[in-house]
Amino acid sequence: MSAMAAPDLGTSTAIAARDVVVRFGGLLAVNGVTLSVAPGEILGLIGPNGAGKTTLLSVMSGTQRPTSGIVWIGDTDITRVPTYRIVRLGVARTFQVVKPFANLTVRENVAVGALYGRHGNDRSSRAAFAAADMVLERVGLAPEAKRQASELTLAGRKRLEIAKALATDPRVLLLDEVMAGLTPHETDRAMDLLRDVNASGVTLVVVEHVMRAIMGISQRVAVLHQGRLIAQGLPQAVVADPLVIEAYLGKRYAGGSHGHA
Amino acid sequence: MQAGRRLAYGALVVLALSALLPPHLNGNWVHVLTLFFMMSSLAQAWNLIGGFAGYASFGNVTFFGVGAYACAYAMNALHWPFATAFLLAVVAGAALAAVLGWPILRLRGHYFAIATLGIAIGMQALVAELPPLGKGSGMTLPINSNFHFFYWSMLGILMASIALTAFIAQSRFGYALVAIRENEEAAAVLGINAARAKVFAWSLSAAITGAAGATYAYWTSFIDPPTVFDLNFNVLMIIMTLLGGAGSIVGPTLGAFILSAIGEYLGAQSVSPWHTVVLGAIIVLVVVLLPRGLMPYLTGNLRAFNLNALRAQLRASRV
Repeated sequence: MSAMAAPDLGTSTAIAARDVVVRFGGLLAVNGVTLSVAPGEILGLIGPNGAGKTTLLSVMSGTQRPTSGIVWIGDTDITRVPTYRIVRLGVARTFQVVKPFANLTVRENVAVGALYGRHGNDRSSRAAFAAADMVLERVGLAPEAKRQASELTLAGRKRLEIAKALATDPRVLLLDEVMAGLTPHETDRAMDLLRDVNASGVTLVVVEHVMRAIMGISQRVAVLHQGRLIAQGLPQAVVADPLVIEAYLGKRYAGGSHGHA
Repeated sequence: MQAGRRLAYGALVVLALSALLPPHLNGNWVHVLTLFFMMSSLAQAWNLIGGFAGYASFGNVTFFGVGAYACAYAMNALHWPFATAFLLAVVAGAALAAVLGWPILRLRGHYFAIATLGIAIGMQALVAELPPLGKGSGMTLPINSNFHFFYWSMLGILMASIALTAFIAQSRFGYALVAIRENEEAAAVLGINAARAKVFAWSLSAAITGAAGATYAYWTSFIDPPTVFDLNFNVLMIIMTLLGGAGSIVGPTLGAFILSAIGEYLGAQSVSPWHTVVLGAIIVLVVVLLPRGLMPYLTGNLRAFNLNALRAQLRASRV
C-alpha cells in the first residue's frame, strides 16, 4: 500500500487516478492523467480515436499496468493489485470489443460473474444462479437466457457484456463503448439501463463516442486528447470548450460558433 | 450440461458393471480392456486442462512417466507396497504440474503447447541420465501376475476421473476453467484468479495421469524412458479427447473406446500398418467435420445432427 493519499477533491472518491502514464514502446497512450470520480457519479469520458480512453479504463480495472502513477479504489491503492482482486474490491468493466463466453449460455455467462464477483466467495452456486437470473431480468435478457451467447445480436452481446459486469456486484462500473453500433432505439434502452444502474448506487465511468448518450446521462464529462486530460466539467460547458472542439475537429473549427463536437 | 451429466452417470454404471467381467474373460480381453481403461483415464485427465481450460498440453505424458518412475523407485529401491508407491506417484505428478504450471501456464496457444512438448522431451532425457532410476536401461518392479488386479485398478482410476470431471463440470471451479478457455481476459474481469485455476486443473490432470503411470509400471513390471515418456501416449490422449468431445464429461472415454475398437479390429485383421493410416485419417476428419467431437450429437447440445449441417460444414471448409 502506498503512503500517499488519494487526490482530495473535497469529497470522498469512488475511484481515482493520479499522474497515470502508460507507455507502449515509443507511444504514450496515457500521459500523466489525474482524475477522480465521486461515489454515485456518472462520468463521461470522451476524446477522439486513440486519445487513450480505453487504456485509462484498463488501468482503472487492472487489466493494464500503468508505466507510472497510482490508482485508488476509495482509499485502497490498487496499482499493483491483480485484476481478479480488483473485481472483488468492487470494480467491474466491459470491453469495447465484446468478449462473451461464446460456448456458454447467456445465463451461464452472467452466472460466472455472480460466482466469482465481489460476493462470489460467500455464496452458493444456487444463489449465484439466482443472482444471475435477477440481472438478466434487469437488463432485459431473460428471454434469451438459455441461448448460446454466440447467437445474440450485437445489441444483445453489448447488453450481455453489461450483465456480466453487473453480476459481479460492482461499486464502480467502467463501460467501454457499450452503445457503439446500436440503433437509436437500442441506445435509448441502454441509457435507461445505465440510469437505473446508477440509481441503485453504482458509480459509472462511461467511455462513449455517441454524443447524444454522453450528453444525456453524464453528470460530468472528461476529455482526453493524445493521452492528456484537456478538459473536464459539466457536459454543456465541456463541448463548448474551444480546446475540445479543436481536439475533435482541428484548429479551423475551434474559433467558430457552431461547435457541436 | 444436464444431458452430459446423465450420460456420465450412465457410463459410470456400465463401467461399474464391467468390474464383474474379468472371471468370464480370457487373458487377451482382460489386457485389451485394461489398456482401454488406462487410455480413457489419460484422455479424461487431458480433458481437464486441454478440454475445459483450453490449454493444449503436449506434455501430459511427462506425468505418466514420472508416475511410473515414482512407483518403480518406491517399490524397487524403497520396498514400499504398491498402495503407498501409487500415492507417491499421484502426489509427484500433481506437485510437478504445480511447479511447472506456475511459469508455463502463463504462456498461451502455441507457446504453451511447445513449452509442454519441450518438458516431455527434456524429462525423458533427464530420467535417462539419473543413476538411481537405472539411467537409460530402465527399472524392474516386483512381478504381480494377478492381471485382474490391474484391470480393477485402471477401471477404478477411470471411474474416479469421470466422477471428478462430472463434479467439476457443474462446479464454480468448472465454470472458471470454461470461462478461461472462452476468454481469459473476460474471465479475469469477472473475478477469476486464472493462474490459480489453471495450475489447479493441470495438477488434477497430472494426478490422474501419474496414477495411471504408476499402475502401468506395476502392470508391466519393467519400464524404461522411451516407453513411459512415449509422445504417442500424448498424441492419443489428444485425439481421443477431440474425437469424443473436448470439454465434455465422458467424451474422452467415448473417443478412447472408438479408437481402441478400431485398433483391435484392424489388429485382428492383421493389417496393422493400416492402423496408423486410419488413425491419421481420423485426426483429419475430426478436425474438419467434428470440431466439437461426437459428444454434442449424443447430448443434443447441437441444433441437429443432419446431413444439411454436415454439408454446410463441408462447404464452409471448402473440402
